[in-house]
Amino acid sequence: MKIKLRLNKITKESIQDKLKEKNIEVSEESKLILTEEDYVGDTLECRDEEGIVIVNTEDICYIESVAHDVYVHIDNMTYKTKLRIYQLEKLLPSDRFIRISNSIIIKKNSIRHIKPALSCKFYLTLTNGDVVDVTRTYYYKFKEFYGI
Amino acid sequence: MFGLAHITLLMVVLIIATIFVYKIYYTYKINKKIQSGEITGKKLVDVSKMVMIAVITGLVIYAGILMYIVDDYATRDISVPRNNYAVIDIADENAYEYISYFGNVELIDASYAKVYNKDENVGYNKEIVESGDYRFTVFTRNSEGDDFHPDFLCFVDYTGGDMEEYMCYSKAGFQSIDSKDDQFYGESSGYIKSNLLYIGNLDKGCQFNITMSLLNEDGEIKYDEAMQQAYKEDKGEFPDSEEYAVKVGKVSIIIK
Repeated sequence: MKIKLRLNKITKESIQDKLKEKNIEVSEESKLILTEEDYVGDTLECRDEEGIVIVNTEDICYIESVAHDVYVHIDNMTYKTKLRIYQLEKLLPSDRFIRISNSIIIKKNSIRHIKPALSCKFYLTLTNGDVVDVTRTYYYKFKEFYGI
Repeated sequence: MFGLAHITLLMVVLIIATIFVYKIYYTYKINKKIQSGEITGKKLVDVSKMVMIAVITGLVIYAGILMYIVDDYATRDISVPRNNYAVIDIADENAYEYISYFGNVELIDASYAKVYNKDENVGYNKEIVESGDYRFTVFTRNSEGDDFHPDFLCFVDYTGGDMEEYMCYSKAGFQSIDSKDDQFYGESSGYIKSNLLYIGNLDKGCQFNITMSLLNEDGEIKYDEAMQQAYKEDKGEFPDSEEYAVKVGKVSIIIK
């Protein structure tokens, strides 16, 4: 039996071994798909004034949580999503997205310029011109992520 | 010559400059790394850590410099100018004889004072003070002091009568102009000497006082009794020979 997996990374890793034990082969050619609720993958469901917008995760510059709302910033556009920051942190690929503060997740290659502060902080100028800062809590994780 | 304030300022500037330069270098390096996408390689020291390293290193160096300065100052042979004066007997112009000296004057041969005379000395202001049976010819320097010339000279000449009639109790010392407290003085007694030279150095804000008290026999006895009483009482208060003197000649010398 062959099956295609459309799961988030953590779930995928835990399921794959179990499927193997059951002699179920994982194949991209299979028409049978195993997926989960809130699966993000390469797209993210967002909203704007006109309705639902499907956004490619590749186009995302950064995601920001303000009060009770979460905003997805893409170049000059901003959309809302119903997912919480902590959920997005788990769902988005960890090799391409990193959380830099309690309210911001950025994409790895969306940084245009970094300015270090005298304390354990960085000020990031992103490709869309917005400036965000890496807080002390996420400072060392950020350095590890980028190898700096 | 660098003072302590200069060194402190220099250390502060150096520390700030080091941090500033490192921050520029660090910013350049991490931006280059991010743009290249390279995550391997040696990681740089954080700016915050560099601040700490620079400050601690700066303090250690500063402490070392301070220790050197303090050690150098402590072992230096400091001559205290105001305690440096000599009394020379020039009754015999062939032999200038030290009567007494205080401070750090090391020369035993007082003939170096022969270069000075009672009429005129280049670089000095002259003043004559007649007091009691004494004439004080005072020379005070009128230019910046140096290590080779004294700040003042005072020729003391006895102008009275019989030199064996009295005993001379001389007192010389330094006094602060503001506080009027005696800071250091020396006293001696003996037969009247006709030609004395007081030669020495004087700080600003201080004056040098010379008092020549002439005591007769009766005065001497009373003075001696008073001194013995003072020793007995042991209060640290001693009588002044001037109080028992028949005649007193005195002068105060100030560098203007």
